[in-house]
Amino acid sequence: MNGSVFDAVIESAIAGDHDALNQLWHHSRRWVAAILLAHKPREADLEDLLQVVAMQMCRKISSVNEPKAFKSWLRTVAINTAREEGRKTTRRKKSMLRLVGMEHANNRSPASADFIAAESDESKRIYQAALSLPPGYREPILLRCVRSMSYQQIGEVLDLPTTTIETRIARGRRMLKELLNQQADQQELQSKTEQTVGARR
Amino acid sequence: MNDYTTNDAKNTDDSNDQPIIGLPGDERDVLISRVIDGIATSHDWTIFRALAAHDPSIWTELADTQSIQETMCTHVDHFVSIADHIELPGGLIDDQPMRTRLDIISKWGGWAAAAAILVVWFLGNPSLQSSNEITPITAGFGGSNILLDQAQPDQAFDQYLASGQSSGQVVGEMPEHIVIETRPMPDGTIEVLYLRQIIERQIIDHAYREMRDETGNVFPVPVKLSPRTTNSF
Repeated sequence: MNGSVFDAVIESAIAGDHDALNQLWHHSRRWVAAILLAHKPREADLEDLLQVVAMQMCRKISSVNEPKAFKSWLRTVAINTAREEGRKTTRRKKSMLRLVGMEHANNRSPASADFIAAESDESKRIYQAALSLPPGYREPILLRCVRSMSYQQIGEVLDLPTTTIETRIARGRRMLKELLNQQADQQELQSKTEQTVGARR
Repeated sequence: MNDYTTNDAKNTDDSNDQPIIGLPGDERDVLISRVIDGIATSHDWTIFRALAAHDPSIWTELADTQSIQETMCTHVDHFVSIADHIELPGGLIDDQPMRTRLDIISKWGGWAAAAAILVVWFLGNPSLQSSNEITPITAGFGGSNILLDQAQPDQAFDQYLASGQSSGQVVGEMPEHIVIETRPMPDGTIEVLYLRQIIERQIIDHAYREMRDETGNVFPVPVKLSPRTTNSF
């Protein structure tokens, strides 16, 4: 979809055309998912959050002033949805603490939607490390994983120049690599310490 | 994009764009990133080869970064693909055409006509409207047909099961009854309240699940079920 066609679809959606709205959602939902991943609390279900964003898009798209503002508006909706879920999760955790005690609250449910038994430990470790990057780096790095998103398209979503996106992705990748190296070093040190303690016994 | 100068000075977004102390080699990082993302120009490759001639470790760096990127993207793609099954809320989408149609009807024939057409719409069976006679529902069971209004409850229930099974609507009855309450009666008998569980089936065109918005209102959300999906409702 080229720029002018896409703008026309956005204009139609803002005017209340449901087909255009659907088209827009299909075009955007993958990157919306990536934004949610970058901001949601660990326990939150991505599917539920996507449903909420889809609903907000239906109900509030008429508030978008111009087509150019659509992507950053939808990103803001996604971030707010993820943050609101974060607040709810904190409230739920607090009430759980009151009701059942600390040990239950600290147990993560294995039935969480994000739980993937089949995923390798290495892949999970890299993903978790990526989530621990500062948001300014985390978002473009995750968006780059969404199929066919160019630096320019990422820039449109984040409302930043393409060159900034390029720099952030490059830096973010380096930071991620350094973080993973640090973790590997720590694990190695820990395992050596355990071996030494075991040998002394 | 042959200029390796970073653009942090132009960026006013947040503090994340401050140069990172201890993170040298932005130009080198950008070059590696361009190679990984498949957007390196011939000029980029010339610089890359020149760098590699003096510092072969850049190849290892490239391989490591690419490996991390691919592993992470496989993981992220798995999550992000969930979005392909999320459709816009049906209730909100269909709301406006429904209202528009009712508006047209009410303008044309008044609210009475609108209400009548709405009933037909939801019943979806015009033949029901053409028949003025109420036909007693009968069903064969054990070789006999009994008018339902003359049948005993057990007979009527058995007829419902038989008729439902022959039409495919009833799958069967669960063998165990769930006892809700047992209480002694004054005459020495015991009254037992229990549930009988019937399994029915329906073929539907669209599946919806209930969601709540921020104000607690329930709204339907279409669910796309693929053969891979094991979710049930």
